Amino acid sequence: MEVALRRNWRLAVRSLPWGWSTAALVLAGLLAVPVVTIPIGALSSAGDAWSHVAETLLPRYLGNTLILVAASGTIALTVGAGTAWLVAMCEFPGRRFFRWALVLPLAVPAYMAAYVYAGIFGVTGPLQRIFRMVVPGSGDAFLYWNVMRIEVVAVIFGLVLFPYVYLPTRALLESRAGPTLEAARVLGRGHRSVFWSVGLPLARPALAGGVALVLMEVINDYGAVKYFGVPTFTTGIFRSWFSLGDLDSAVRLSGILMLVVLVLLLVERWQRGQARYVAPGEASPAAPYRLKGGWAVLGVAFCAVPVALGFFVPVLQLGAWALRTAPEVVDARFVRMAANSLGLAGLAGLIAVGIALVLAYANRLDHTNLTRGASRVALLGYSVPGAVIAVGILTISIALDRFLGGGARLILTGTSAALLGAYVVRFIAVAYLPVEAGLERIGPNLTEASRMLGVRPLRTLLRVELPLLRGTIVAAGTLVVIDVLKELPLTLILRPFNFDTLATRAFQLATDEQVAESAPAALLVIACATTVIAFLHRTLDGRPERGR
Amino acid sequence: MVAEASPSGRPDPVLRLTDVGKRYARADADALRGIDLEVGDRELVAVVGQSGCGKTTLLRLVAGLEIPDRGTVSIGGRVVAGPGIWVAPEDRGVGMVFQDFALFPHLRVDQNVAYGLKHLPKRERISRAEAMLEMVELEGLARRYPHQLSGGQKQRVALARALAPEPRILLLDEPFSNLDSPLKVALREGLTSVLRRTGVPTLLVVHDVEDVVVLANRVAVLREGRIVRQGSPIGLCQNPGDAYVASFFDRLRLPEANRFPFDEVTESASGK
Repeated sequence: MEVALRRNWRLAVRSLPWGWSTAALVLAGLLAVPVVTIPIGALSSAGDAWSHVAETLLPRYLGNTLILVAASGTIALTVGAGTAWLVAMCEFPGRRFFRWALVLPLAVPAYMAAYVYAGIFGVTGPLQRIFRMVVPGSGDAFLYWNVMRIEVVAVIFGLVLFPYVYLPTRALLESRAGPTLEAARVLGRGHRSVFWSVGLPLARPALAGGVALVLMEVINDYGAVKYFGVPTFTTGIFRSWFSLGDLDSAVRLSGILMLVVLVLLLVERWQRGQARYVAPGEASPAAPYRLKGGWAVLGVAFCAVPVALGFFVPVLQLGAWALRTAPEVVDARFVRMAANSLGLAGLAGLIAVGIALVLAYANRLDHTNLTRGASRVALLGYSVPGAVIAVGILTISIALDRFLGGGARLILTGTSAALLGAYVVRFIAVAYLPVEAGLERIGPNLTEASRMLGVRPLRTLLRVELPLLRGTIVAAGTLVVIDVLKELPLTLILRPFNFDTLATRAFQLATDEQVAESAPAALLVIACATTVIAFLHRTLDGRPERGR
Repeated sequence: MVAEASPSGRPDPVLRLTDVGKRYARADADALRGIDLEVGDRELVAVVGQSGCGKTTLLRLVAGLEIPDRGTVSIGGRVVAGPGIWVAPEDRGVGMVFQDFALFPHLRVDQNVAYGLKHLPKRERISRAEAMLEMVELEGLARRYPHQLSGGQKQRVALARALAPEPRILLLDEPFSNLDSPLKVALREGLTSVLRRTGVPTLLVVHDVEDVVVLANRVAVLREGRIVRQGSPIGLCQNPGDAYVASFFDRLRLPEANRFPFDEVTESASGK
């Protein structure tokens, strides 16, 4: 007995997590290189072009970006929090369907939704055609609603990105918050009162995390704002880079953008840091509020509208277009593109989740600022526009190729390995944040218990955290896969010669005003993403919903 | 069935469960079958049973957190659950202390206690919360947050919070399961004194008879969703009727078994 105790103690001491910290530092360093090149470049002396950009364009870029961030963030927060509460806490017709369907807009890339809505509201679109047919005398009149506006872009962002808020908030309400919300009810507080006084405060970490993801997506978008002619930081970077050939200004703009997102990440962190909630027991969803009459109708509408506008309307419109153009568009090349897209996305997802686990777990084993700082640095990739990461990767891969003495032979540059690396740098945060939150939810006790029983960290991870986090890990990997499938600017720059993915093809056709021809590729991206989401939802929902 | 009559001369019971049943789609042992149970004024009733016998479900049915499949639940003479009737938990006037206490982590102790007093004007709310904290002897900790409290303190806050709105009945879910032994004794005494002072009718579920006996004036033994025996603790102890019931009361008849197993080990070791 005593011997065993002593042995366990020794094991626990001996397995101090040096290896983990080192691995985390190395990985974080690798991930950070393409990102860190940006501020270093931005600190070098400014060229003449920059003063021009700073004076004439910067205020407009800044204004538009802030408007977009504020408006789409508010929409995503309202819709995401509201639907999460309804689905987790209320009983109304169609709840089970909406619980699942509310995730679907994640499958629709913002730029594809943008083409669709521009098409629907455009002069030759179905709405205006119907209007002309119904309203007599308007036949030839040039009827024109200007939908190419920043407000419309913000709404589109809100509609396709709100699931980033909905998903973590719903998960939190359904598991951890259950008993606490029940306590509030038993104390005699009504539905709305419980929502404001307990539900929202408890959900705050999930809300903050979700909104942070939404805003980063908004800042990173290139396709939608380009199509709608709304100049933002990202389009500004593209412009100064590709049109004006001014790398210096592009790097500076990216530097400012990185600062903005750094602030955002810090706010999210601070929100979570304040809420050091101890998980009260195991998952037990609260008894539902039964919505009746008008409230039930409102509840259904509040869920149905975002699902319809964020998913079904774009999909149906794309479907209509695809029916017309598929026979000529779908060929051997199309199939190859699809294989490229899926293979890359799957690999990137696996790698990203693996790295995220190492980083998050090292952070948990070793609470020094060094490890924590390493993971923060590694996450910065998400805050940097895809195009900027692409150039960072290009620079590095060219330098490496030169170092390897390739001369004419390029080992890394222009290969899918470079593209894959860029995806991981870009999307590691998507995998990391849920894994870290999941580890936090489990709490340190189990890890410590396992280690005090003489089990080393790696085995503890495999035997304790991984099984408990299975759902979280599948979810994290899936989010990465979907993001890679939808990714555009980075792929446009880094793809090997004569290499197309579904996203790049759809983008090229749409910008050439061949929107209908782009529909099959767009639809396939959405179909893949939808399938993945459906699979994910089934895996995660194996457990019973209510009762104990 | 009933081994001993409850205190005589009760008018309308505060809580009455009549033939209450609850089944789950997953066919767990947690279901309840034909439960008849009453809690009278100023009475403390304990429900004892192994885990999974439906104890917690029983409390949740009374609180309104579950909906029974059949039977009726009435509180203070008013039917709160029955055929075609279901009153939401927020409208039942029930106080509940959850097994894990379920304190609101984002609210201070005094805010937790005042949470159920929304109907009172602010000044009264504050003074009532202060009075409740004084009653559970935590007046010094009003400004703390739940994560700054010990387990025993958390339980007292949960108790103060549940009693603050003057519920018609108090429900206690395994009040001692999350606490360690020396604390249990002190808390049991604290809890008894608080319950005695307020006189609030109480329904308590536990898996361990040790906790109950000193507290309850009536004990119901629950097994696989049925009440198999009901009576005073002394009565059940002297005449348990079957082995299952007896297993809960074993310890009382053999006080030496109450000692730590360590004693046994030492004795046998020294005997060698």
